[in-house]
Amino acid sequence: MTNASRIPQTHRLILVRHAHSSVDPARPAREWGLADDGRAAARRLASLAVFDHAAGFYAGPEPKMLATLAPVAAEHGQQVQPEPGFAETHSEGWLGGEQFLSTVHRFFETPDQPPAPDWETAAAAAARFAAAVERLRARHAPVVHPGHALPATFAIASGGRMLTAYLSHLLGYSAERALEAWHRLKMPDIAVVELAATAPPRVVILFGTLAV
Amino acid sequence: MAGRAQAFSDPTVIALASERFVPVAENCSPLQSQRDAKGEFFRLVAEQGHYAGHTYPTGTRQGYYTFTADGKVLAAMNSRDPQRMIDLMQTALRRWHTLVDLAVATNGHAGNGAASRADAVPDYVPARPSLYPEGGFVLQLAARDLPREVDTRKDDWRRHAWNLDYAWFTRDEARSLVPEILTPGNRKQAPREIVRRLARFHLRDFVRGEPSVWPEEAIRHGELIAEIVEVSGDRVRLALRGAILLQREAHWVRPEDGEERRSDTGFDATLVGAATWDAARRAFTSFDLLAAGPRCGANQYNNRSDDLGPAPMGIAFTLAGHEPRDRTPPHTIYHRDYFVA
Amino acid sequence: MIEAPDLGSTTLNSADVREWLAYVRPKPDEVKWQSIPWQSDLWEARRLAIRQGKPIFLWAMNGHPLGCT
Repeated sequence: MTNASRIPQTHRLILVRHAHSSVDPARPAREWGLADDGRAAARRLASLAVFDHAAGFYAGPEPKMLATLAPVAAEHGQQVQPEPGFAETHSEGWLGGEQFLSTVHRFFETPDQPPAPDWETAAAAAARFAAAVERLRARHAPVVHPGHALPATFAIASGGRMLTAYLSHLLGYSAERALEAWHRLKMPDIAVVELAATAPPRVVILFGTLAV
Repeated sequence: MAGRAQAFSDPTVIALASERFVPVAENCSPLQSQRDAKGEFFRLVAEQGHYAGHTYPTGTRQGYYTFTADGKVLAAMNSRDPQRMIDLMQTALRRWHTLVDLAVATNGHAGNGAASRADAVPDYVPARPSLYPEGGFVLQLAARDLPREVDTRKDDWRRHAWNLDYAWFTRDEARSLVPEILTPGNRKQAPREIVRRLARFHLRDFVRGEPSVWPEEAIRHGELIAEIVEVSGDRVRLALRGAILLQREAHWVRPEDGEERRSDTGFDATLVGAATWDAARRAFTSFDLLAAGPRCGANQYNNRSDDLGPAPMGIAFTLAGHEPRDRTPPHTIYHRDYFVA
Repeated sequence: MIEAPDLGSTTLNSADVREWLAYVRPKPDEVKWQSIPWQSDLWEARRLAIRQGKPIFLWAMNGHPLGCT
């Protein structure tokens, strides 16, 4: 018999960094779709059972994020729901090579300051993402079976800076650790994070572990 | 134990598991917390599966998992239903081919999980070294309820339950069972260590589950005597006879509701059997021992709450074979007292 | 039909013990699962999976699936 008062109020987020995008310097990055190898990788993601217990599939509104999670959602008879809170951190203009890298370094080193004109700060982005996560946590309750219960689980596709900024905010990463985590991200990539009512947040599966 | 007969008796399940997968069986209880690479790998697999994040009422991760060699789970579940098992395997194979075919098409090689280099799986230092007694004396155990005059058991799996286990003894311990002078009529009392191991670790009521070991003080009486009945060259035939009485009050807390439970438990076992000792090889070539008698009571993991008894139970001890499965460790092998004198 | 032995005393003797051992031991129908070539070590199964180009099927239980569970 299930005792409702003893069921842990736990959520699991499957965080997905989008697959390889088709780079077009003439257009803003937020409009890019997936490259051919990115589309193939997105289809490979649909073979992973880690998504089998996801109750919902959410992504930032950028085409590359929606397209990364679309085959996974289809495998489970669902559609990806766009969520502006999961968009990549806002940036403006095309910064190539070294200039882009140095801007990202400033993004993590000084999270309360814009790293370049009209860029979103890491702190603001993390707060935006966390607020969207909290809205989804309110929507998804733990799954109760006769005699046992499982955490509520949902998948979120976003961008590399955004996901790293969120994890840094959630887990208290130093700037160095955040930068290292960002550099190590693959395309696509997956992490699983657990948010419990009675315990600190924790990473269950690290980015880089389930690369496809 | 019911799952063994139910899920793995279906010919399609047997064929798929044998031919399309690398089948492996493990006790997940230690792996769920074991601090080494194997434990970490199991947890990576389990946290993608059907019990990912499961903490209520227990943190069990038992079930059936299909995955790539590098730990990407393809499908997982915890159901003994043969059709669901077939569905699980077919889903896994479909996903496996998607992963491999798309990787080959994109990268020109299968990549993760299907690499061709066997050394892609590194060596590791096990947190728990194997205690298998190489060259020693390994017995397979089977336990089953014996017929009753009045049978109040439900006519379901409980009436047909049986279970397996293994018992490990060293080569020296095997010799210690045999009289020093190999002459018919000579007798030898089994050393206390052997009787203690049989009693505490192997005369458990494991017909329906996995009871914990008997504490030392539960042993009220224990003896096992080997008598030489025939000597023919190096072949020494022995008759085995003994009795072991175990009694204790079991206490536990039900994880579902935190309720405290207690039960008077016991096993009054008569031991009878026969063995053949090869004096040249200094090893048993046959060993057949039956421990039978009335058992009573329930404990946390023996599933006897509806069958307190007393009712008869038998445990058969037989020399184990040489298949990989015959190296399966005793259920209680990592108890600190198992090999302790 | 095998009759129950007199288990309240020590009349269980060598003559009928063979019959009772056969009664307690698993029957062929109960051990069909043993026809599957189970590996007993997850780490070794990973190596074998790479060599054979196959996925792994893991049967995990609290208690060893091939022993007491």
